[in-house]
Amino acid sequence: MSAYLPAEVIEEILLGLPAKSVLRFRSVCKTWYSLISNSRFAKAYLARSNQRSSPYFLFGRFEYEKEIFSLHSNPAIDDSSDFIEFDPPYDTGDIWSWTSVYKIVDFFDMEQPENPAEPPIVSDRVIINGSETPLTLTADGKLRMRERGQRCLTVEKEVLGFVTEGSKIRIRAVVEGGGAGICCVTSKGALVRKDFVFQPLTNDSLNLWSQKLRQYIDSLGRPKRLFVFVNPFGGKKSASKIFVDHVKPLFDDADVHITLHETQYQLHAKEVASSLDLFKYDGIVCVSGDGILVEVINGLLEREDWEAAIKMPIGVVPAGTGNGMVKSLLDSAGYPCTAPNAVLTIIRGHKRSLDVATILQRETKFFSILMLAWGLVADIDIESEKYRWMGSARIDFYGLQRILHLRQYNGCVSFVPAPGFETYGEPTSYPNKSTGKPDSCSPSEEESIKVRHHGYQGPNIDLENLEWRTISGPFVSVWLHNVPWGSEGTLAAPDAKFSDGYLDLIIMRDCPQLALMSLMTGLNDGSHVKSPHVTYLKVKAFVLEPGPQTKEPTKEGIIDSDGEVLARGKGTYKCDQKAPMAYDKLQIAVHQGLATLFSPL
Amino acid sequence: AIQSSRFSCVGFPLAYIFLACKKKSMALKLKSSDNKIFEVEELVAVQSETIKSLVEDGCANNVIPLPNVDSKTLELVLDWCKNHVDVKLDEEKLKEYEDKFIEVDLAVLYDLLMAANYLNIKDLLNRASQKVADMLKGKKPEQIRETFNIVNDFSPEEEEEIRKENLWAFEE
Repeated sequence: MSAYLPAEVIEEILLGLPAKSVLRFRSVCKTWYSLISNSRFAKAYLARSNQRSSPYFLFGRFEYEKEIFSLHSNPAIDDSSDFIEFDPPYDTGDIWSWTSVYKIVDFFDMEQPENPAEPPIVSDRVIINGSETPLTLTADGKLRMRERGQRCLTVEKEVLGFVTEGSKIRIRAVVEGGGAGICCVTSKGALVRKDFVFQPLTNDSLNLWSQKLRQYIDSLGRPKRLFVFVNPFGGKKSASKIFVDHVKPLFDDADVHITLHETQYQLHAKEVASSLDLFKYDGIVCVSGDGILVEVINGLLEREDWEAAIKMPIGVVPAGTGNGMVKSLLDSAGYPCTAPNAVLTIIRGHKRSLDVATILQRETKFFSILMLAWGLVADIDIESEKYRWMGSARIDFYGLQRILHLRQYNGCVSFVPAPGFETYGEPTSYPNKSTGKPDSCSPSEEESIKVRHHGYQGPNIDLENLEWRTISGPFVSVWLHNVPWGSEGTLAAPDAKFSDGYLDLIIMRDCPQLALMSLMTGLNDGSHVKSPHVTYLKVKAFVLEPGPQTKEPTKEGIIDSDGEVLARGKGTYKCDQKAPMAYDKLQIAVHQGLATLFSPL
Repeated sequence: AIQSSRFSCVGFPLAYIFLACKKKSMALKLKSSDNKIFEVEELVAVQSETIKSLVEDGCANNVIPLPNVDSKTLELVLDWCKNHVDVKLDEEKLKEYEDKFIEVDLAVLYDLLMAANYLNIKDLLNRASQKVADMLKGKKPEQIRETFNIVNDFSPEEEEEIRKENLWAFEE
């Protein structure tokens, strides 16, 4: 080759080299040395490497007359918005600063596929958008492709499924949308359906790809057959629309076979769940508020084969008024509570166990997974129905009214505290000896017990020999919570865990009205539990002995569990209506991790 | 001064437009360093920024001499240009063409680089540079000097100094 190449051509060639080579070639001659050490060239090199394929963006900017570099993950490739910032060791223009840039570019340069983090399952050249490019599926489930820079799909997280269309493979994915711009931090959780189509070069390659992709997706243990409850009457009556718009399309794309069941009346879901052929399904999904979920749990626990049945994973898609459970699930992973997020969670098929509380009054049992409320919260929840026409504002409106005319209830609560909470209340003995034992029932009810006898009987705990503590009224509010969120806007028990085996107890005794009002606003972020007027602890078992209102001893209260009335005392709203339990002593015990839910984590 | 020169142009626009229109359909004549004449469509030739500015300046009425490009190279370059006229061309086919085009030995590549640089044809310069870069990747500085006939003007001490600054870059 001839002796002379113009500097601009040398520069052009150097721009195409890996950073390591560029740095090494500084020792070729003085001309090359000064060319490479020049900050103008370094910037051009950086710009070129950013265009190319690196999963990182490197920015140089001036700040206080100093050049500062920051390394960002490329938002088009990686969804995290983390970045590292570093100073060059010396001032602007110094060769050392640029040396560090080259080093970093080289370090993150994906051009060298020699050392992939994970061994590839399949690596091949395929056609994407008309051009031949490498495509790799690695053992960690990453599908890497070149498409205007490097694009990486995490199969487990983002891929719903795939389909072979002639000689092409269409990958159906859900990716986090938002700005593709460099500077804009993508808002977490805004999901966008996106397809990626590629064409393997040969028929053999096509078969290999579809076989390996199938194998990988199958290895994830995702549910394939789901029984789906839709409650068309619940909440804003939007469940059917949500099902058609969000639920079905995503399940179809993920090749999940669904069996749809619309609930027609109250307790319909419970009825179906108690007799459903569970071998046909990998999970049950409730497109509804919390109500259907509670019915399904109760239905499963009533079955003769409850022990196996309750292991059936249950998913919830928010489509009702109270979505406390799905809000708690999605929020635990930092996802917003939306139907697509919930459906994706179910498709991905991760599971977590959930404590189930058994509420027992004589022979009547109710299985609760969310909460039990007595006093202020129950009154607002249930009595505000009168103002149903006001929509969601009714809770605030009636809440205010209730606070202005604050009621207090006589009564007593006893509990077995979780470790660390032993100092709350006064010591006492097991307060429910008479009602706790099934054999104490009256003969007339024997018949009905035999019928139900087959189902789950509550946790097997020797309550009598535990250390009980007690707190006496009057109470403004007594609230038990299993999961953090009571509804989408109520962080009732910020410390609650899904399967710690405890319920969070939130007690309010005497409280000035003004403080109470600020407490109610604190429900949005859970700050109410820090108030000196609130007692917040964890309990393993609990006995409630509800009494009448302090000012009007003829009037009693309401006990509300998982959004439904459990007991109505005398003189309450709609007190003539039948409730499952009497306004009397009842006992609650927690069974750790009994039920299973589809969960993002 | 700027104002007056702009003003002086106003008298001639019609003539310019007329000439410009007429030239579009015309073929350009390019003369290589070994005095071969190539007749090409203007649309093909103006992919060279150098030729383009000559045409715009009205200096392309006669034969355009290209004293830095020999006929063998010019033929290749013009073939490249012909294949890049129609931007709507199938991307796949274009890539196939480029890959085949650039499969040449280093000497030809060097001529193409020089021609692309002189004629200022960006995409060709890029493609040829990348090809050279791919050939140089991983080589030692000594091999680079040999390839490009470069004389090492560093003293052994100076060279050692640079090595030390970036030992990692010299690791195999």
